[in-house]
Amino acid sequence: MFEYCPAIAEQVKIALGDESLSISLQDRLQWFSCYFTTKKHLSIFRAAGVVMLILAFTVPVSLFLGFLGALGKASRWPVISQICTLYVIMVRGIPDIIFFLFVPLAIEIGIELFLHKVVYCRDVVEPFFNGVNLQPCGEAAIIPTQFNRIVLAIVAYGIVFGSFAANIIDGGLKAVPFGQRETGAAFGLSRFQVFRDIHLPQMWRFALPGFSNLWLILIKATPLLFLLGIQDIIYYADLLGKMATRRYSTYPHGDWKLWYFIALGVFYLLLTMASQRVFAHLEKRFNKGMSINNASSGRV
Amino acid sequence: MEFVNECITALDSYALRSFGIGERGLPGSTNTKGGSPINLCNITVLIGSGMLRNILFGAIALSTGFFLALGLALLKARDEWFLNLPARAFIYTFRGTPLLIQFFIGYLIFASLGAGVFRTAAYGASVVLFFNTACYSAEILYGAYRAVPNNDLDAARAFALSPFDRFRDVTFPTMMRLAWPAYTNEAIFLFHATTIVFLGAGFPVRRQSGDALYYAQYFAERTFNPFIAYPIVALYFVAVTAVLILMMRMVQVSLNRHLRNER
Repeated sequence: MFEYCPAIAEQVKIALGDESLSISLQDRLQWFSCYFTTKKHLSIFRAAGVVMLILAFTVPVSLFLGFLGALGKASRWPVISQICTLYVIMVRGIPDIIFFLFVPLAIEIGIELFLHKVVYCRDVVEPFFNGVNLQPCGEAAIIPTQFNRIVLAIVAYGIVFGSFAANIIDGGLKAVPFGQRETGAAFGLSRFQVFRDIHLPQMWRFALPGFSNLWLILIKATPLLFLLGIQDIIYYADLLGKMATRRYSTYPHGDWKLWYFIALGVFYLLLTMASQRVFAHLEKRFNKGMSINNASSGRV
Repeated sequence: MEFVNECITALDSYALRSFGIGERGLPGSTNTKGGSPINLCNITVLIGSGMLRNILFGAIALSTGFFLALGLALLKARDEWFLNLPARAFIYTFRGTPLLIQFFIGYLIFASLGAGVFRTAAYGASVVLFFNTACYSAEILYGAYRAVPNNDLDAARAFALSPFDRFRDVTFPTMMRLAWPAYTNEAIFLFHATTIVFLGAGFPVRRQSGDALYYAQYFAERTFNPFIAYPIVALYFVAVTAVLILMMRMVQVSLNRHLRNER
């Protein structure tokens, strides 16, 4: 990255091999400035950006699914309300990581099945479902790229956190006093108008503590991306923290994995800390001018 | 009839496989001698066997973590800054960082200390889960402690109860009663969190003795078919979560039995 890097790397490398040579503080600092700006290190910073991006995309998806679930639960048609109720309570019974593993795979196989049946191998005799094994033919088998994996992960996260969000929105809608809606109806507003102008705006106030909780849970669920085969910050921390020997590496160092993971811990700690501040501020704003200020305990 | 026989064989070979007892090779393994074919019985029994591990993890962490949580909560509630600040920082650190990273750090610390058994998933992960649940529970208990009505304590003082008696007979029971619904949630989420121990959270898996999700993933990868193993593990979790909720509910009823309306 910097001009002095090759020289300083060489110098430190020699000094590390020779006990009699010492490294000055300035050299050490320069060495670190080089070390942290190598190509590999820039990719860990990029991975941190990808995590943020996934968070940013997951939120609207899960809010959308959350609204769908919560409104569907209150539906007049029993089939819809039952399906949505199932969706709302789903994450309470089943660990989220199972969905994270299952949903991307299921979508991938769905696409494979489509390719197998419709596009490529219509004349292949061997069935797609063979006992407990699945066998797409050669052309239909897809090998997921990093980008595909990330998109599928966002879908999986959206489904799981949509379920959590549905729970919160459902609670928020129920927490709005019935008298408010009654008053709206008495003023001659239609059902939709009551929902849009009275019910929904007040829901946010009650749901905010729940959303704040959920956001923190979502942040703390992002490391699981690593388990889905995505090259996220944990992947790179694991890679970069490994011992680098003098023989094969320009920047040799011992096993620094522990430090890398502590740095990740600090990164997440700062992220949650900042989020808590923002939500505390939002809560203050949302409750401004409301007569009841201790409305919700924030438990979901 | 053949199906029943298959299942009996499966039970025989794999019922305690997650603890290393039983057939060595997993179903469908090709490199180890004696691996049996993959069928529904084998999948169900093996995942069930892994489930025992999840339950054990959860039970140990919850039952031991509770005591640390109580200590931390009471420390956090003290007025002296040198008592409440460490407790606060400790709780904040564990609640603010993801469990997966705690697992990695835990493993690396145990490895650098050279602590033999704690480098295995069974012991090391238990320690991390213990601290993790202790901190989450401490926050819940702290909230409940602050919510104990002052009137109750005034009444206890009026009866000249000693501070210890006051805690044992008034504060603690009320605290538990108030904390219990949130604590139930914590128990469920901790139990669900035990699934990531064996999924590459740093701790090596020895002799393929893993937990429910480890085996489910094994089958899904081996057969390229997620539609059998994952629903089975999901159903197991639904069942155990339901039992857990029922048990916690029973405790709650007994905690609230002196109240008329809040059962």
